[in-house]
Amino acid sequence: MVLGIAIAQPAVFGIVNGAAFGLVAIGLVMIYKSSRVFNFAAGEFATLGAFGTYIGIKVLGLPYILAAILGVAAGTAAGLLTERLVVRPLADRPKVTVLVATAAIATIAIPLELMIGGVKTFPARPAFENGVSIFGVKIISKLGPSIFGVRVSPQLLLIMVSLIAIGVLLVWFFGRTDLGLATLATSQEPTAGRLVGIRLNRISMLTWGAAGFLGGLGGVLLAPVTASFTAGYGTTGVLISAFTAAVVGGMTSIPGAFLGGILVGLVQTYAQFDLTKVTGASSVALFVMLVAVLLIRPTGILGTEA
Amino acid sequence: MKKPVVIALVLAGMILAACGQKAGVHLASGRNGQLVNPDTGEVIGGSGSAAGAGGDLSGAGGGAAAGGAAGGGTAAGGTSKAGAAKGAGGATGGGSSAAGGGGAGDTTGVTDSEIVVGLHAPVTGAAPFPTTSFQDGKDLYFNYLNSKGGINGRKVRVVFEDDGYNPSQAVSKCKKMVEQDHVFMLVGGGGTDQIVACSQYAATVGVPYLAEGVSEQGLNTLQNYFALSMTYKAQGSLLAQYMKNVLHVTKVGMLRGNTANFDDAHTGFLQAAAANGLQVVFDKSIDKNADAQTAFAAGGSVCSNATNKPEAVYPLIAPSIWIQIVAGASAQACNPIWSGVGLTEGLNTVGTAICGASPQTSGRAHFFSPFPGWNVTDQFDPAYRQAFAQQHPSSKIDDISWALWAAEKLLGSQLAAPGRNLTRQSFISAVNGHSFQTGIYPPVNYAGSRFGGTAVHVVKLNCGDTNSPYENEANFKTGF
Repeated sequence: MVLGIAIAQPAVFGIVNGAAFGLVAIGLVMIYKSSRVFNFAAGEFATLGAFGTYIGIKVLGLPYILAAILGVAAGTAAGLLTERLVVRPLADRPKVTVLVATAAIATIAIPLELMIGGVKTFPARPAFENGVSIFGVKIISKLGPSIFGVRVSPQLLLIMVSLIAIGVLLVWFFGRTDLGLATLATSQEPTAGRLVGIRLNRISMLTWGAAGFLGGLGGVLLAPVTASFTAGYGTTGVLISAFTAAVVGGMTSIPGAFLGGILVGLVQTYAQFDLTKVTGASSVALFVMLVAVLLIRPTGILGTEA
Repeated sequence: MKKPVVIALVLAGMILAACGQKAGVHLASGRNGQLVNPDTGEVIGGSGSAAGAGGDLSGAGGGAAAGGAAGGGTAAGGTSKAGAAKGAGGATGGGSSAAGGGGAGDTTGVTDSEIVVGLHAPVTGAAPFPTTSFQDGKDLYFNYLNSKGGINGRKVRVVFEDDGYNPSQAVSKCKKMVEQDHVFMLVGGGGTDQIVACSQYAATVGVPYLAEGVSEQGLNTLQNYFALSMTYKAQGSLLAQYMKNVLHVTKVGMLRGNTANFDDAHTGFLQAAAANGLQVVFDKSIDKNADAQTAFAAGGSVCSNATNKPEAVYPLIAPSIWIQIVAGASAQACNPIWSGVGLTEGLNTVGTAICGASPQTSGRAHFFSPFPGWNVTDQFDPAYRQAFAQQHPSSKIDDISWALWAAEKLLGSQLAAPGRNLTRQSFISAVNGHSFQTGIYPPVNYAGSRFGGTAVHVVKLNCGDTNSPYENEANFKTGF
C-alpha cells in the first residue's frame, strides 16, 4: 500500500501539474508554428491574466466569471500589443532578434508589475470555490475526487478539460481551416504567402492575439491552483517548465505540447519526491530529459519540420 | 530549428542560473574561524586564540571598561519577565563589563562621530516582503538612538543591502559593504545560507558579524561571529517540548529545505522529538528553491500516509515555499498544526498570505520568534511606534520594522560595550563572554559560546486579525 502511494501519488501530481504546463506550452507552440519565434513573454501574458482576474474581483467587485473574462482580455491585449509594438517592427529582422525582444518584454513587464502591484502575494480565486453543482446537486466536492489517495480539485479538472478542448480546437484550426493553413504557410514561406494574397500582418496579429488569449487563460486557471501569485509569477513559476514541455513534445506539435507538459510534470514530481538530497533535483532531471530527447529526436517527440 | 533551440536553451539556462543557491557556496569562503588581514593575507587570529597584543582579538592597552550604558539612552534596561516586559528607552547593555578597547585595533567604519554598520537581509527571494518596510525599518532604531546622542558620542549609520535570499549574492553584497562602504561590522537579518556564507566571508577579512541564530555547523569556529538569538538546533529542542506539552500532539513531521546548513537543525529536532516521546511520522526535504508547483505537490504529500498523519509539522524552509506547501496540504484536506522556529515564517506578511491560501490554518500555526508579537509592541517598548510615527509619518507601519528595531536595540547595547575606544578587536572582546539584554530580544549570553540566545517568544496565527495576523502567545520561554 505504501509503495503504491509512493508511486501513484507523484504520478497523479505530475499529471495534473503537467497539464498546467501544457496549457502554457500550447501557446508557445502556436507562436512557433506560425512565426518560428520562441515567445519568452508568454509567462507574463499569464501573469497579466492572473492580475486581471484579481483586479476584477478585488478592485472592481465583479463576479468571478466577468473577472476571469477581464483576465483573459488582459492577456489577449498584451499579446496584441506585443505584436504591434515589438514583433511587427522587427518582422524583417532575424528570428533570434524577435526571440530576444520577447525576453526583453518579460524583463520589463516584471518590474512594471512590481511597481504597480507591489511586492506581495495576491490571492487567486478558483473557479469553483464550493465545488461543482448542477441544479442544486453537488457533483464534485470542493476538494475534488480522490485518485489513488490524491484529491484532484475542481480547478485542476477544469485545467485538464480546458487543455484538451484547446488542443483539439487548435489541431482542427491548423489542420482543417483555410486560415490555419494560411498561418502555417506564412510561417514557412512568407513571400509566397503574400503573393497568393495572404495578409501577413493580419495573420501575425491573429496568432499573437491568440497566444495572449491562451497565456491570459493560463494565468486565470493556473494561479488558483497554488492559491496565490506574485508579480512575475508566469515567468518565474511556469515559463521554464512550459518551454521545456514544448521543446520535448516538439515545437511544431500541439499534441506534443500536451504530452511534453505531462512528461515534465511527471519528471519534476518524481525527482522532487525521491531525489531531495540533490539541490535542484527537479531542474536537473528536467534538463537531463530535455537533452536526452533532443539528442535522440531533435524535433521533439511529436515534432515535425513543418 | 536547431539554432533558435540552442539560443533559447542558453537563455533558459541563464534564467535558471540566476536563481538559487550555487552548490558549495556556503563552504567556499572562510578558513574556519581564522581572521585574515585582507591586504596581506596574514592570519591575525585563529580558533580559540583570542589573546595577544597589537592586532589580536582581545585588544591590548587600557581602554576603559564601558559597561552597558549606551549614550543618550535612559539606561533603564529591560526588566524582562515571562509574559510581560517593560520596555526601556535607549539601548541598554546588560553586559556587566567589557574588556579594554584595543589601542592598536582596526577602526574601519568608526570615526569620532560615526559608526557604520552593514546590514543584509532577504528583501526579495524568500517571501513577498514589502521593500518599503525594510527601507523604513533599517535604521529606525539607530536614528532614534542618534537623536538621543548615539552610542558613546557616535551616531550610527546603517548601510543596507538586499541579499536576494541567495548566498552568492549575499557574499557579493557583504563584500561590497566591506570594501566600498567600509563598514565597521556586518549584520545578517535572516536566511540561513546567506548568514553562513557572509559570516564565513567576514571571518576572512576580520570583520565582526552578528546575525539571528541559524545553523551551528559552519559557524561554531568563527571568532568574529555572534548569534543574536537561539540557533535552530537549540530551538528544535524547545520546539519538541512545545509540541508535546503545549500543542499536545504525539505524531509530528518535519519538512525542510535541502541545504546542508539545516542538517544540524534536522538532527537536533529528531533527537529532541525522540527524547520527548514524539513519533516522527513524516520527514522530508525538498529543494530549497522549489517552484510553486513543486512546493504545492510537496504539501500534498504531507498526509499521504492516511493511517499515520502528522498532527504537527515543523517547516524549515523559505516562507514563499511554505505558503505553497500549506496550500498544497489544504488541497488534500490535510491541515496539521504548523509549528517551527526562526523569524520569517512568523512575519505578518507571510501570515496574511497563509490566511489567503488556507484560511483553515488560522489558530493552527505557531512559531518561535526572537521578538514578541507585533500586537503587543507597546508592552515591550513604547518608543518603537512613537519613533516610527516621527520618522515615517506617511508610511504604513508593520512588523518588519519591529523586527529590525528589536535586533538593532540588542546590537546597540553590544556596540556600546567597548566604550569610546571602539575597534573591531575591542568589540569582539567586549561581546565575547558577556551577556546583554534589552527587554525585547531574549537575553543573550556568550559565556559558553558564540550562540548566545537563551529563550524564545512565540506567536500564533489568527486570520481574523487582518492588521496583525500573528499574535503574541508567549514570551521569554526557556522551556515548555
